[in-house]
Amino acid sequence: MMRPLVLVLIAFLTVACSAGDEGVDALARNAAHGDRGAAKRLVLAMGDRTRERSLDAYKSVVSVGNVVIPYLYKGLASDDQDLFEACAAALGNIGSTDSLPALKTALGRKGMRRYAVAWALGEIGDPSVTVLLVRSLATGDVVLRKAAVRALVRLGPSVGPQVLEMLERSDDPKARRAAIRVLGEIKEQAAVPLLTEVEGINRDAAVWALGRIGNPQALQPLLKDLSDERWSVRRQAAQALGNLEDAGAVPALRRTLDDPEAVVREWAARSLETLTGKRVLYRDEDGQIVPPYNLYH
Amino acid sequence: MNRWIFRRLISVIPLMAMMAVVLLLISGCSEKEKDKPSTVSGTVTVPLSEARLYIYGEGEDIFAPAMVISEPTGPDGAFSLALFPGRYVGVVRKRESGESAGPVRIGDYKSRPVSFEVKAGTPLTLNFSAVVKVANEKAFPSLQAKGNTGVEGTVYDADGNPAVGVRVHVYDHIQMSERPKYVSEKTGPNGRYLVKVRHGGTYYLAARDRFGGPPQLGDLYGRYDEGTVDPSGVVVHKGEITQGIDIIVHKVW
Repeated sequence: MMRPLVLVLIAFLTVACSAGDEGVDALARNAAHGDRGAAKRLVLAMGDRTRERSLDAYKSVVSVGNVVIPYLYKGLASDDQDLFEACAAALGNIGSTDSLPALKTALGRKGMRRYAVAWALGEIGDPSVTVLLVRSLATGDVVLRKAAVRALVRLGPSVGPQVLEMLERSDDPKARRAAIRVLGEIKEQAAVPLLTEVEGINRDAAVWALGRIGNPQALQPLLKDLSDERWSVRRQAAQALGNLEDAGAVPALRRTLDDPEAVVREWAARSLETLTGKRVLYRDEDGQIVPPYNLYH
Repeated sequence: MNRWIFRRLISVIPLMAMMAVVLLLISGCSEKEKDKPSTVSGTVTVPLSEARLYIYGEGEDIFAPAMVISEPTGPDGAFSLALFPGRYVGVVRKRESGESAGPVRIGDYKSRPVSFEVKAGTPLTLNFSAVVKVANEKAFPSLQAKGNTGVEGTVYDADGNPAVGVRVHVYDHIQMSERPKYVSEKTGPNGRYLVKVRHGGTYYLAARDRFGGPPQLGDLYGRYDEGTVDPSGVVVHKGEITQGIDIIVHKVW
């Protein structure tokens, strides 16, 4: 009586184990030939706890393309974080706008690794997702917020008006800071008046953005920022004035070479070099008179 | 007789013309060869399999990312790669970990740097002798400085939990592509790190679970930034530990 049962159990385990060890290459090959079962198992293999197998599966999924896409959508509905993350990233790499509805839904799934969704939306680069990404700037999820900034920057200048609106309306300092970063990176000229008025903990970010945008209207506010009580603001102002390329900043930057903070003096020297085309030395933290080092190598 | 010689000469003229054309073509090709890569091949003696040849431009830092890396050597220790004419430095390394980048540790193989010149259209044969590294005669990179100047914080993963087993790499150039100036110890269960630096200044930070080389697919990686194109600079003052510099890592896709 026991013997047949044992045999059946062994047979079952053999089949189960062999199915678990199914090679990624074979799955990819079969999926590419339209085998839906293989496509599904290939997508599921991206959530495998073995790093090598999950990465191999990921690479295959991206290269196989269309046949796996319905299973990637299912992965976005999964509660398995690794699978969710890999499915979002794969859709970003495949880059089809057809996947936007599924990715938009996934972006609303709190508690999941939505940064990968924001990243994917940035990779696909369709401006219709701007509203959702701008909304993500106000999230408490730090990694999502950062990915949303990156994605909006990738979308480019078209996002400007909606990000500017967020900066105008939001009272959340973190959301405002993220919006300022985007506006600076995309060089949104229309943001200059609002950025000059930003006060408080985001003043350094606003000064950075004004330097990135490089609009001459920012000259006077930035000169004022050179006297701010916070060295982080003075440092950004010294840097930003170099980017503005307005010789009117030279006298104030020369005075800034006596700033009590070494990093402010260093940036004043660097910006003076940009504006005058001449070598400018500054006093470093050890009291040595030195040139600013080259930021790029 | 003279007529016969004349006829022979006449008959040879097309042949000579063809030869002249061929010679012209060859000389033209040789001019173009200056722009073509030449094969550099040879053997890593022992012979040493699974070793890689790292090529640097003359005068470059041989601890920085290499300009060209060969495929791993075969069982006969042979390698082959194509290089444009110029002066180079080559170093052979074989890491027991199988990684193609990162510090050479005790037990790994490495050769001395060899300077060589590649000339247009001239294959070059080089032989390297790689020996087992028996001691850390030189720290790579300068992992930690002494003193009380530095930066500390926590590395988190994409779920907001402390990231275990990652190192924080500290750079002094904004591109963050050179060899890091300082590297933290691996983070423990609380994700905390502390890196001491020799001088105050502005630094750029990244946390990652692998050592060396550009981040690869699947690696855990994160810069200290706010989603901007350039990383955020961290200002460190002499004699102070800059605190609260938290970094988030997630997989590279």
